[in-house]
Amino acid sequence: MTTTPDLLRPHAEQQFASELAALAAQDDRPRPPAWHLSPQAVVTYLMGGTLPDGTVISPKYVGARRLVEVAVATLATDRALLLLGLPGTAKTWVGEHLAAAVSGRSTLLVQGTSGTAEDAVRYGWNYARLIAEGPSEAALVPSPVMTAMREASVVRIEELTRIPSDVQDALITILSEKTLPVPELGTEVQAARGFNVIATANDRDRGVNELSSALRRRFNTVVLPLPATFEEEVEIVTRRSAQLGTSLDLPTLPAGHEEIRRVVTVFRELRSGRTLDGRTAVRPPSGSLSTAEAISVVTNGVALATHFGDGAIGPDDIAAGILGAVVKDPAGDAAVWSEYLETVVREREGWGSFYAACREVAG
Amino acid sequence: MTVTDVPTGPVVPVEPDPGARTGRPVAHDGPRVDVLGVRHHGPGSARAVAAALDELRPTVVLLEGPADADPLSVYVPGLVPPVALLATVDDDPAQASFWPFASFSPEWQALAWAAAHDVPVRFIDLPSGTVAALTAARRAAEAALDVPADEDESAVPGGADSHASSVPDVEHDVPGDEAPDTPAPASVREDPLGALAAAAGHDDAERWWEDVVEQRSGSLETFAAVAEAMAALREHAEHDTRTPEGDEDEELREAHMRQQVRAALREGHARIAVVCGAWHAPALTTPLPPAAPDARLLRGLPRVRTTLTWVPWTTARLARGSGYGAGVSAPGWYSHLFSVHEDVVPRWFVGVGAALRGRDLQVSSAHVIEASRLAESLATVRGHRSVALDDVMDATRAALCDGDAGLTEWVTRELVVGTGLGSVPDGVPALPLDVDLRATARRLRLKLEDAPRNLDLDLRTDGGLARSHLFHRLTLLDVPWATPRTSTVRSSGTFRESWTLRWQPELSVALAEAALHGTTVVGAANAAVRAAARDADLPRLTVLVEQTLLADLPEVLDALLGRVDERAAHAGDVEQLLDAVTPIIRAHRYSDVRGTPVARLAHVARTMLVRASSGIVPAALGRDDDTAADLARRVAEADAAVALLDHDPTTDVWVRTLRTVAAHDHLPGHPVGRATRLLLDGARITPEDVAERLSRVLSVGTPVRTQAGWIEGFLAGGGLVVAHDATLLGVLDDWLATVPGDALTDVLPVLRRTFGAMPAAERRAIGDATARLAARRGRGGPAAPTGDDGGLAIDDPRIAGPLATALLLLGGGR
Ligand SMILES: Nc1ncnc2c1ncn2[C@@H]1O[C@H](COP(=O)(O)OP(=O)(O)O)[C@@H](O)[C@H]1O
Ligand SMILES: [Mg+2]
Repeated sequence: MTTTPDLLRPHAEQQFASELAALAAQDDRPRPPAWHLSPQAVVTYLMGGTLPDGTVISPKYVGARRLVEVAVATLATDRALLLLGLPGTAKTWVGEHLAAAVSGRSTLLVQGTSGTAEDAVRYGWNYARLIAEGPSEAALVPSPVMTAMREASVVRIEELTRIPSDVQDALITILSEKTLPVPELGTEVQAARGFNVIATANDRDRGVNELSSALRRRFNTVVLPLPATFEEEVEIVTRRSAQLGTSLDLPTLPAGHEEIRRVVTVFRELRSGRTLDGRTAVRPPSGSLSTAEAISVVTNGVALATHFGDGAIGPDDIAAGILGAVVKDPAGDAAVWSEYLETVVREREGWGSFYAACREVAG
Repeated sequence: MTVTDVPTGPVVPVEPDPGARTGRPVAHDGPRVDVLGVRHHGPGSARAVAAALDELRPTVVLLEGPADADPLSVYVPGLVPPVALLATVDDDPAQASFWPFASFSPEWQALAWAAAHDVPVRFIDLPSGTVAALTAARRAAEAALDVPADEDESAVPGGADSHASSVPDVEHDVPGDEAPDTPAPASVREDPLGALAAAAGHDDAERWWEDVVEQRSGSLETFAAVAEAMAALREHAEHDTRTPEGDEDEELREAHMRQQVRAALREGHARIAVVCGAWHAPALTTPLPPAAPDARLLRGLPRVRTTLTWVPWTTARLARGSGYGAGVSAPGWYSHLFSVHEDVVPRWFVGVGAALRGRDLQVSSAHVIEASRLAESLATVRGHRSVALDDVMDATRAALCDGDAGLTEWVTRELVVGTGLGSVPDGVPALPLDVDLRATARRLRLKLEDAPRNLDLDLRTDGGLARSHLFHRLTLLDVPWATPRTSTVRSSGTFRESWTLRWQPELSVALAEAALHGTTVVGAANAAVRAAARDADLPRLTVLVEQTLLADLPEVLDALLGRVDERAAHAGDVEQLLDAVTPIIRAHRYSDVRGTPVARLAHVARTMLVRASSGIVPAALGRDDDTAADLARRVAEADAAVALLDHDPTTDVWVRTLRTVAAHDHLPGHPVGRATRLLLDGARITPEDVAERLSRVLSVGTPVRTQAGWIEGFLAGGGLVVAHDATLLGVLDDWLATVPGDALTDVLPVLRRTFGAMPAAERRAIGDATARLAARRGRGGPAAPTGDDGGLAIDDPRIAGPLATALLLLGGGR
């Protein structure tokens, strides 16, 4: 794996450049226009595998293969893809890797917020030039979407539902007509084959800026679920914290490390409102306790242990992180957490020092 | 196929024939026998069979199926599939076999072709009576050896690869209550073509069939290829010890089928078509081996009397993998594959789109096109040669259902499985159970009609009672012709029952399944109860007791109560016992009311109550708030039932237990409060007594949470008691005034829940009483908690606290 050591957070196509190159070299299946890889190779890139020459492709998404197949098959039919799910279910992550594998770059990106304006989706103007020279090609500032249309690339739109509906409407024309008119210049930008959109949206945002049915109809929708099983979630956390740790020069934890299992146990129990053995009900806190947060608790724990501790991660390195993830709303969550500590953690065998560490940070 | 043959296999030693290579029959002047080896319920096979028959124009069609069903083939023109042949053993209806037929079943196509062309049909497999006798004998032998019968193998008397399924042990499989489940992967013998497809890396055997098999030029060549492949498979199975030992009757069955082919030849038929499971094709292909060994094998086979008939069936039942389902997971999809020849995928999605529009969802034709494109694209990504069902379903979800799992499931249910219901014409021999039901209905002047009709029964009249019994019996049989309009359980102490009657067509299918239990309504209901009781846990058993009483089935009641007693003795769980006490006591009461007292019922009710009593205190010790509250609720429910026992001496034991709980110092607050309340309501203790207990509990020393639990438990029986009793209210009020601030936040949620659960009128009454109390004690403030927060502005902090709390608790909801 080639990492770019100087970058804090390399793009997928940078971090996994050698995997992508190996896949491209050994990919003998047909590629849709402007695709860097065949659809099958894109699936392999996301799900992992071993190539004929022995190159190991690391799994990026841990979960059902069929979901990734549907996502890739959607893109292969020129149809826009909407990834839907709760926070932290890898929507952004999957979108980024799909873009990297299909178009070779994941950087054409519109970050959706309530302040996203139409020029983020269509184009804007360089006003100094506009005033000096009048409307001209040179004065036009293309949006990532326009660039993707010209350059036959995938563009990502993050948090689609946060974008105001009138701006969303601008997307409808682009997706249905595959063209972006520029009336000021009397021209248009027609999408080159290979242009496509991957959007993400949060399930919890339902009702915020509900997608119009006209826009919704332009997408095939893939719902990314929470990890189905405990073991699957442990695997995701292990793998991702290792990857993140490597880029921070941190040691990696062995698969299924005790503290990882502990973090995942706590998260799953609080999220589902019952202990893993199903015996005891627990009150769920207000936050979503996503897998993504579990990953960051573990990564921070490793960093703490490495820089301030004895190097080996232990209960005291994760206690503060867990507290931060659970107690989002000090009023209600603190009580929930303390109840969980008393009724579940305290009695659990082998969790004594974790209990003590949590009590200490809770103050 | 035909007169030609397959490479030599140890099973059917025949000469290799040049015809095998060309796939064409060798021309000669003698009669011609074509063996069409099919995949049971395979639409591809069905189509090939129809085409082959058109080409061959046989003079007789021989079909794998029970030989004694021949007379039933005359009804084929009037049948609407799905239907099933049902064979029941006269002396033991539970020994039954079904042969389901869907429109896309090759066997059905053969039947339909023969009927349309006026060609005779013969079923050539062992007669159902012989199969049943063989199965019974084998089970007896196994029982003697004490070898646990292997369900899977002995369960299918028709043979592992027959398309029959049966329920020799209905006791384990009460009809009607299982959801369509995914069939387990079929063995080579059961589904050799599926196994071949799987070996070739295809999970969808039907699409494989289309890809590989049907690309041959004609259906006859297809069957030649199938026979060839099967010969190789059989040879392999013969040598491979890992292949599961097939069905013990296979040799007999194939001998019987060969004899039938010989008989048809003897009759002088010129062109004979044999439609059978692919596995058997090599064994039936001519030239046949000498007849003598077959005849010897078949001599003196046992046989019991059976009755065969046609019954209507449903696609949902075809989809069931267990019991007597055909294990076809996607009948709707199969039916589509069978009837649509071109543009299979787009046309399917057109149907899905129409169905979704029927639910008011916006599905344009552009959508339908996108769904088809996605399915095709998925097939490519997955390396499927053509679009398979999972591609179709994933595309449905992503492109048509906005990713919604629930909607996708609906599509599966409505279209992939389908809601098809078959029918059989009048004149088809009726099942004995059906005859009995109709006779009973006539006697009780009831009509089996589709239009719903309400009926109120007066149980004091003979007619009313008899009708009630009939309805309850049918309920036990899962034939819900009559559904209660009010809970019959709740009203079991009264003389009225209200029912809605509606004979929906599906009930014919339910009745066919119920026929496995017996030949009369009473007999079948008895058997159904016995079967249901076998694996039932205590709560289920007690429900059965009630139902059995309502259905007036004294014959099984005694046995049932024996099981209840036995289970209760072993129940480690007080909750289970408490839950069981109520229905049993109610049943006891009820049998009294209806003048059919059952002595044993009273005995069981008593022992159960005693057992439950002794378990309550140990079970309550050390519980957390929630589970303690739950236990308290069950105790209260049981107490309500105990009240029905009137002056039975056992009630003393119960009251003593309540007293112990109420006086216990170390139990969680909830059950203690609740027990105290129950004693008060039963006038076993006085209000003064309660006030004393309450102030003891609420004194310092008891944890605040226990105190809150006590109050919640006590008030769960209704809040008016404190409104009417100033002493109690005073104790409560004093306590609230003294709870320290941080402890108060801890118990506030519980208190809120307690008062919040009360009806508004109760809360108001308590509010008024509190205000009166405050006035009497000389505390200022508003006369009543009007919800006006101005009341909070009182200066005296000692009063402001409790008052604010009271306002919060009482006024919060208004
Ligand atoms: N199933 C999964 N497979 C791999 N990584 C996952 C999975 N679920 C969550 N993650 C990780 O969680 C982190 C956050 O995911 P992200 O894509 O930001 O979530 P979302 O966009 O859905 O809110 C990423 O680092 C991702 O790798
Ligand atoms: Mg995201």
